[in-house]
Amino acid sequence: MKLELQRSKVKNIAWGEKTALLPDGTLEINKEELLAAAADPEHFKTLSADLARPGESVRICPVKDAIQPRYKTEGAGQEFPGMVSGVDTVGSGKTFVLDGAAVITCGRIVGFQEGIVDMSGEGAKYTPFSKTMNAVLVFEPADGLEAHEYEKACRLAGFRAALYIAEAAWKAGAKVDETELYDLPPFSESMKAFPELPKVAYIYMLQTQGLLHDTYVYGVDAKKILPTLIHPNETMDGAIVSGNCVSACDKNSTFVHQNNPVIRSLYERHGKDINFIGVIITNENVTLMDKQRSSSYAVKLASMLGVDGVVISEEGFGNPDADLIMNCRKAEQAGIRTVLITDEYAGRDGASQSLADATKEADAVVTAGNANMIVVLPPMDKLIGFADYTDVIAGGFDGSLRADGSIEVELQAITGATCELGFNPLSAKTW
Amino acid sequence: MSSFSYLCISNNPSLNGQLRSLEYLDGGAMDVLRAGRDLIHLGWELLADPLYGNFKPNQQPYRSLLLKKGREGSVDMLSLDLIESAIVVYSSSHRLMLPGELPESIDNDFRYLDFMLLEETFHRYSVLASSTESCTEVVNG
Amino acid sequence: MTKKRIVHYINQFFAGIGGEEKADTRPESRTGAVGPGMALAHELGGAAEVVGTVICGDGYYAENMESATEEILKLIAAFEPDAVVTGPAFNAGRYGTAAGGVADAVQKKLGIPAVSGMYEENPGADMFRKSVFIVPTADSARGIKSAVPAMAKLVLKLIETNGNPGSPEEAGYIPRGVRVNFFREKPGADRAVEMLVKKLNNEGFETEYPMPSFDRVAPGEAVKDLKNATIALVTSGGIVPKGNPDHIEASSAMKFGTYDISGVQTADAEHYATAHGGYDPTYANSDPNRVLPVDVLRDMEKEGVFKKLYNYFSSTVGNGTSIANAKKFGTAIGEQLKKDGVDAVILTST
Repeated sequence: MKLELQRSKVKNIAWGEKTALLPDGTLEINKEELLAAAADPEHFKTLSADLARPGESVRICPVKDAIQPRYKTEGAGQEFPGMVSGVDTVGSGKTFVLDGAAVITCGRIVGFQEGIVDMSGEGAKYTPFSKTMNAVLVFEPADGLEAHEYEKACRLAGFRAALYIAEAAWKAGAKVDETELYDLPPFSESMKAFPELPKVAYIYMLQTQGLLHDTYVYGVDAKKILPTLIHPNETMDGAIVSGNCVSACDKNSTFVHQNNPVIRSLYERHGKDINFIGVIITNENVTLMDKQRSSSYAVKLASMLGVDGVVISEEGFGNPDADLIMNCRKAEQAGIRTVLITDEYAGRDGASQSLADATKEADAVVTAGNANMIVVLPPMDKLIGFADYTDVIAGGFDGSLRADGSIEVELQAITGATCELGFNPLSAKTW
Repeated sequence: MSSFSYLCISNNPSLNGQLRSLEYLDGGAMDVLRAGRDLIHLGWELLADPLYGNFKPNQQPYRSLLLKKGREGSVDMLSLDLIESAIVVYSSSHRLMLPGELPESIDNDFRYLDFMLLEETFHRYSVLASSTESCTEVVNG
Repeated sequence: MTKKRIVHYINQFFAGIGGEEKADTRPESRTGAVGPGMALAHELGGAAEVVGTVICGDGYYAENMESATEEILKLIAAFEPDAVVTGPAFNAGRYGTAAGGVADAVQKKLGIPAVSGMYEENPGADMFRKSVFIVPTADSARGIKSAVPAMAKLVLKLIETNGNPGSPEEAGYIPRGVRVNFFREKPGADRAVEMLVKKLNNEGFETEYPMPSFDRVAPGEAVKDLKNATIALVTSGGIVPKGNPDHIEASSAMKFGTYDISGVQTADAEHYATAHGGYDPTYANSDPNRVLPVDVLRDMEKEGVFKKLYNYFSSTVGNGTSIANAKKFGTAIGEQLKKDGVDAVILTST
């Protein structure tokens, strides 16, 4: 399967007459059209849009999802299959990418939702979305709307908006700055390729615990799947999307699924240090029997591929720690070497045990940092979204609201801060 | 306790009337975990991970455990490991949130989420009371 | 700039009061530096001065931990210090526990920084390294020449940096085992793939999160012939004959005791009590069988469930006892039991 990413750099974002990527790199968006694309009057009482740029004194909260605007210009299917497009297989042909832009959705499904993106100040150091030019959608639900329905409406509106922006910008003649080719052959070929290099696969764990903790693959609720194979290119076309946002620091937003850094890194080393064979997706269900089944099944798939090693990435903490450790132990026992990516909940003082589970086989672990670390977020001039978390909840039970308006929160409240796909350079060490 | 071989222990009042076998516990999440540990030592097995849901112990005041009657006189080691790990996680929290401590609307949301995260497991083991429709919550706009 | 005010905590021995025979010395304070405090004052130079010294006997502290800590804190607070230095305690177990405990309490209750110093295997290091910055020292007082300057340097740094002295290597303290965030050069994904390549090529790699160590003991084989077995009782719950004849320490035990129970039908409150200082002893002391179930085992012996209750039980206090000591005790007890043909042992803890 071959996929060419056609990247255009977005250097600024602004409202304008027509949605287009201007020659100076400004992504101009027609606000009415954007709102029309996202509109869903049956589910939303209000819908508004705003812009947020890196360096601005802006806080967005509660962030539900972040999505990169992409549009398939050639090849089968369209972005976000099974969500807002059909279910044709994606991942081949060409895909236009608005590099450096994001659609951020802001919908309060439950009152305690965190998900802070600060565009400047201390908090901006930790979230990936302080570095992107953001078009932010803010929703309020129609009266009497049920929580699951509302979550779904917010989720889909974000995809429609992202697809609208990318499609309109492409059709307005956006200039492609650079292209990248991602090409991974069928197994019959890859098994013979690079005989001197170790074969490597990726076990990609998806958060699947229930409302606000779900992930979808081609529209299918991933808690209902058996672990399966996916071509890495499919992820670049939005085949895996997020329906989760609590705790915000280590939930994979759709943006990081589209830009999975483990897949990028495996591709980079493919043919040099490793022979990248494929990607296995698995879930993190609550039911113990599912955990045992999925970990056995995912490792069995890796064994059937005959790989020597796997990278295993976790999503979330607590319950998923059990899945991570089962995946690790079973793979190592099957003779497959593992490296895990996780984050830690070692307490505010860093003195508690970081994971809820452990095994001696997990001797190679990459950490995305201690999510309980305290950060002080200065007051921002402008808030996009709802003040509940920052003014009420952070002050009430989870941190403290200081007299000068700054809030003390755990990193956990910051969107994507300890992303366990290894998106950030943040890490931890023992002192 | 009935002869039904499943039992849910919970401090979540939203589960009242929803399950065929519920032992409601008027206390904190830690009390639920400890009661679960006692049952595991008596041979019961956990059916779901006690650390379901991505909340820290100082956020979510509710815990519910679904257990199955195991063989008499045997202790399920996986269940014991999981419950002990969960107790370690809860004991190392700098504080625990208790039911009723949070503003009503947020407390409601936590009760609702607590149910939703186990709903799939309840279905799987057919422990939802047949007469009730699944619990729904309207989002507060 | 005014000099920072330091209070120094030492035990009765380093204060020149006396050795073990004076271990029951109650807390007292003196103006200025005493004993090793002289060297400390010298090392602090112009930056800080030792305004006072607080002294407590190691035995007194161990037996009255809560009230002793309170008394000591009062004496320390009276000097209005900016920081406190405790020890160095080298490898003295009770002194280490006191030095660590006082430093911990100073930080928590008085809200000022504290530094201690001791040998890395001192049980006090195990107990307090997470909360207290402890300078690693030699195992005996011969190491005082290098310990004191290091402690002086660390306490000054602690004051200067507001309690964030930097890494253990830079600042010279025993790693506390706490996780600290920092930014690496590369994103986690690249680090993971790089680590996997190294692991697959059998090259050295360093995990970013070492799993907690598992010092697990596989359970022994089940006793096949219980009816003919001799069973022993061993406890870390501190049950000893009343009066604690071997003076087993209430915490950071340095020894265990072995006691004859031939003919004893029950571990009654008249003859037995706990030496343990780490739990509420009310229930153990009102019926020591609760920790050391001699009564039930005698019943079972009579019923013929097993053949014989071994004539001795061994006891220590598992309260902050170092792993090294615990292993030593276990090995010694085990060897004796084996020699005497004991088939199985029931270990009770609290």
